[in-house]
Amino acid sequence: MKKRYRNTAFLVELLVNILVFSISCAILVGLFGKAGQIARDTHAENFAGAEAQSLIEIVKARGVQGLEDADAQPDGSLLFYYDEDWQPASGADAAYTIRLVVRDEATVAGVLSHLSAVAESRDGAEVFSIATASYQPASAGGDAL
Amino acid sequence: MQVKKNRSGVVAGIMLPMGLICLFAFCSLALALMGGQAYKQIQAGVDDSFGSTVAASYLRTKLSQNNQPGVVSLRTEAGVDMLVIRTEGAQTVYESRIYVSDGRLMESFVPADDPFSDNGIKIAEITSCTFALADDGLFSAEIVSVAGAVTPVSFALTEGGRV
Repeated sequence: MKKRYRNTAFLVELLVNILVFSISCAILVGLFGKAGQIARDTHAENFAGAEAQSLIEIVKARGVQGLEDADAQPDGSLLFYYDEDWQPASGADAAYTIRLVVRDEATVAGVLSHLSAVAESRDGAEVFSIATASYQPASAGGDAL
Repeated sequence: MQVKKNRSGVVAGIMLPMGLICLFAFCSLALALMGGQAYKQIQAGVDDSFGSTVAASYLRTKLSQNNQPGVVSLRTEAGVDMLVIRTEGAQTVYESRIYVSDGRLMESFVPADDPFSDNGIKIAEITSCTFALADDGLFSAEIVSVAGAVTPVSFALTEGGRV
């Protein structure tokens, strides 16, 4: 009787241990997946930032006409498509997009261009965004008021 | 009857706990391997993007700090393409020369009339970096990371960055 009780207690203890271990496993596997996702998001954010800043600098130097492979949208914004590795892609294959909005504001001494770039993943989640302004004096070709 | 009872006792008392312990050990091993794999992938991603991210940030910071006419230029010396940023001291003109040597982005800060020598300090580990400066002042660089990912850097220089 005593031996049987000891066997049952051992089994119960083992099962409780395995239950605790299983719960820990489930939590850890979830954390591994989350860590991988964070790493991928960070990678995408780095490249999105580099691309968005480069696009804005090109507009500052050359204006909107200096941008290549831009997909002009009806609302006046420009879309750029990128694949998973942040290489330029066609619209259908794009994993990420960068939407560039340029809004010129005429001032007394020239043109103030408001520039914003928003990078989004395929599912519409925002990856990176940046907004800046560039001033072009009338003496350098900006149309003053 | 006694033999049957003993056999079920062996199954319950030895085989089942041993099986559970084996399952426990197998799951532990699988979890450790899974964790190792996840860490390896994350570390590979970090290593891949770290060098090119540092190089891109360094170039942008350098250019924005020195964004004046006649300060930034490109030059090829001793077969090495370099980004040159001039700094005028009290009596001497110095140059920051940023170039790629042996898979590393390097910078040397020397008097402008010194000939080029590959003795700069290491900025980041990358595979290659090509510089271009257009007449309209758009500086562009393409940084290729150790794993081969390309990071573009563009920067609009004031008045073309040149005199």
